[in-house]
Amino acid sequence: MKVVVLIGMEVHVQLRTQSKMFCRCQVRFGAPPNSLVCPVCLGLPGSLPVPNREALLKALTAALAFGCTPPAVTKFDRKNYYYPDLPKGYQISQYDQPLGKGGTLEIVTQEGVKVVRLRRLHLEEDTGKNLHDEGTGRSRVDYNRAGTPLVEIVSEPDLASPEETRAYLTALRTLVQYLDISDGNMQEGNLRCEPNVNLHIEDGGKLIKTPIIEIKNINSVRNVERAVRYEIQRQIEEYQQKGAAVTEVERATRGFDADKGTTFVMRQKEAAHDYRYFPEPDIPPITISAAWRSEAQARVPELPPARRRRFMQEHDLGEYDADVLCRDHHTADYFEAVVAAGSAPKPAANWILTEVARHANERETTVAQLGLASARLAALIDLVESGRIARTAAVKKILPLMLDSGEDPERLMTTLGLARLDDENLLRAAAEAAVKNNEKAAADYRAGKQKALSALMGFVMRETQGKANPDTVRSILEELLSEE
Amino acid sequence: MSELWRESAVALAAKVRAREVTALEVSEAHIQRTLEWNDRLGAFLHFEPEDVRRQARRIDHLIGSGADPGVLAGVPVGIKDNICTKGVRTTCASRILENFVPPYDAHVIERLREAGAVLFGKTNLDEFAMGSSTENSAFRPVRNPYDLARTPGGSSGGSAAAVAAGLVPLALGSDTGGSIRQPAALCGIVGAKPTYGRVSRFGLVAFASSLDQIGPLARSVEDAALLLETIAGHDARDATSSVRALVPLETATPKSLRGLKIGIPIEYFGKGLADEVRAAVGAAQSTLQNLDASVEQVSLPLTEYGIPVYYVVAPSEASSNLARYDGVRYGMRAEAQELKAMYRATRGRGFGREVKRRILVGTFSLSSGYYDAYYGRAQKVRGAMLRELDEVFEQVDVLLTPATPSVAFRLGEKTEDPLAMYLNDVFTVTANLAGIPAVSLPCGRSSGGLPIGLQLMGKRFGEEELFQVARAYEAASKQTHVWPPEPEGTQEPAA
Repeated sequence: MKVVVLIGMEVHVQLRTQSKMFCRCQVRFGAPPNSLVCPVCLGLPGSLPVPNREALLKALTAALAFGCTPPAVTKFDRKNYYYPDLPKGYQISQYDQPLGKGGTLEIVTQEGVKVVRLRRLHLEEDTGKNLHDEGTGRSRVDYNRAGTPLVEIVSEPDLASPEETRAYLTALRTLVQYLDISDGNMQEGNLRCEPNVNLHIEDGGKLIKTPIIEIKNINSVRNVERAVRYEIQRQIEEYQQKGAAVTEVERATRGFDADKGTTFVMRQKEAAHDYRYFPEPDIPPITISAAWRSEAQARVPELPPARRRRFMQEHDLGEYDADVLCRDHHTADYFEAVVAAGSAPKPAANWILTEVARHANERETTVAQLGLASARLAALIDLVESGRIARTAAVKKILPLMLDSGEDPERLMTTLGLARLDDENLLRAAAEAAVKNNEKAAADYRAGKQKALSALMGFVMRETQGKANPDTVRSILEELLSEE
Repeated sequence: MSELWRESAVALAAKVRAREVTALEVSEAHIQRTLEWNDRLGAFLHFEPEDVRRQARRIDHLIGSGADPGVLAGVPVGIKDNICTKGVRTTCASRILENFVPPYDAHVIERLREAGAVLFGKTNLDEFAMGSSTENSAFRPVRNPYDLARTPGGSSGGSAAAVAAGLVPLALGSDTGGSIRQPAALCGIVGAKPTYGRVSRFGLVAFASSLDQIGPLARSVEDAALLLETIAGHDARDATSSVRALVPLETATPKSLRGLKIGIPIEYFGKGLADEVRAAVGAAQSTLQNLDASVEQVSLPLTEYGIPVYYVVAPSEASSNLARYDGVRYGMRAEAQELKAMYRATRGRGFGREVKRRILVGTFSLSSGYYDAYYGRAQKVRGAMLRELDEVFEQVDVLLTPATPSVAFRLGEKTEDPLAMYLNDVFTVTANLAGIPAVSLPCGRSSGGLPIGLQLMGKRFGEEELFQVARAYEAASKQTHVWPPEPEGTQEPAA
């Protein structure tokens, strides 16, 4: 049995604009229900939509950044369906002339770089939110979100694993943040994803295609990976139980239960949705002029893949490290600042991705917002690299103090007496004591057991509270042990 | 009783501005006239005399303080009840919006207020403007002032009847397939559908968005022009509203139409055109020729597809436009245990038969598998009709046609036969499909004394020329408004 996993992603990105897609209501998360509404976004009789130029420009910027081909003329269409959170009984969306067709997104996993093909990118309006009160059994609707500009990005089913799916979502979020078109915050719902998962199973000379399952209710990057991993396993097991009968259903929708880490049936047999798309008569087609295109193009900065490659070339970083640095453009900026302040790039990358990142996580913030001046970090890295302080001391003692006080690392090192001991006489005395107190280890070393030296080293380090310069200690020990 | 209700809007505004009469006196005359006539006509759905007086007093106060009260100072204007008026019920003559009070004014209403007009009341219509006789009103039908057993036409039947009978000198209507021009013709008044985009649709409850336009109904071309000038112009809240300014419509009546080329499309004079209408329009043609206009026959072979195309495009857009009436946010809500049952009950009870029929037709036309054969094809034919008209307008300046195939028909005559009803729009739908301006104006009377209307169609944004021709014809034909017969005593008309 051979299994090929096919995953396509549908991602909705809320654009960060001052006002909504078709009216002037403010776009804001967390306002009191129905406080950011007007006749247009409530769909009152006689109201009309007027497209938001900034939203169009942001979506066009995204289309160009993804390498999509924008059409000469774009238009809006109505997608008709009934739901209480949809004020007009139709959603203004784009059907056959979306803002972008084609395009790609580069993702990086531990296995390397992969180019994922995109199908399309279009602009639409968000819906309101239904709030179900389990206690009373009543539902309320909050239309604050209704009419928020949304970009929907649909990929080809090029993703082949949970890791790749996660990497795709991360890369996409990174890109929209680089473009500064969205906060890309999944908790606040301004980035939402629905993976479509199915398997092509080759078994006994037959090819079985499992139903395409769309997974909803995913609210974090981590959970997209969990949901997809579970779903792949579930589909394999379903096939093992039912065999070819799994193909009876063509598509279905399942929800992700984050507590259990499982997916559950939402809509078993997908009723053939007929959205009766037709051109939105209230909005004339929009010509994408050359001037507009160049205005959008000018907003596209150096994108993550290019920056990643530059980091690899200029700073000799590995692909994975370069990618992780570039995932958040503030982190990448910070890295460049640390390097500019004189730090060697490799240790800088290493410090940022491990020690600094750990503190950021602990404090639930980001590397860039940690308040650690790039010059100070560069100075600390330099102290370690030049051997003036032990790395352990720098990590455990100096860095936390720097974060709390903003003090200069060298002054902290001096004040705390953490500078490396390089005093020949002092270290020689300690080494002699080590040899005296560890006769067996000394004998073993002399008998040719190189490893025995570490016990003696350890003794000296303990005696000096870890401050001894290990290189000096090693040479003294080697000298002592070769004497007799 | 004051006879001020007989005056034109232009005269009334002039008198009010010159302080010859007060706005209150003008309103009072129309209030009395309306109190006398409205019960038998059913022209107004909403009419609050005290509110009218309040508005009139405000105008008088403004004049008293020396401020410019506006070009329509103190002129009562009837508002079709599918145009949103802040704080005043806007029902579209539908149960589903029976209690809907808009929190905002339509763009045209803002313009009217700025111009010092008195918003006199909300006029009756076919439910959601779907119909040609105003019998589809969920509340009551409108009667033709010249024969109470007959229809005033529709869907702006309330506006047309009110203007014809002198309840108001001016009224706003909306025209999606002829809804201003056809009732204007059947009531012997002037009605204009402007170029698509000329008047903002913001606040007009949508029927078919790509066809709807608000326009004036009046008893003279000059009055209609005054109202159109007031409401026309760009509005940033309607993305289809044009930035092209309306050239002020000529107030002087041209004495000659030398150099003007009038096209007579032969397709508008075929079978099914009543003899009396044919004769009256023929006479109008002669009148225009006597003004030195050149008249030539032209052909618009696609005219016959106007009705089928219209009755696919309009219901398709309507099916989507009316989806918002779901009982969730405003309007009527039928109680039910779960969501779908609530939708079904609300829409089932809230909409009338004709509205449902069109929602069904439109939903079908847009459905996957049928879209190409219906909506898609209709749009293609619509495009072809547009090109055909463009070509004809390279030869001629305006087109002259009858406005309707016959004079006003009897109430109930066509209610059981939707197709017969739809054919009333046969001469008017083309202007909507093509977005061109068109005016209907009185051109005579039938032997039974019923009004006959002609239609002039112009080039896109060609209102100026169109109104000039209309003015010239109106003057040369010596058509003056015929007041409907006064009711005998207090006797109520037969129901």
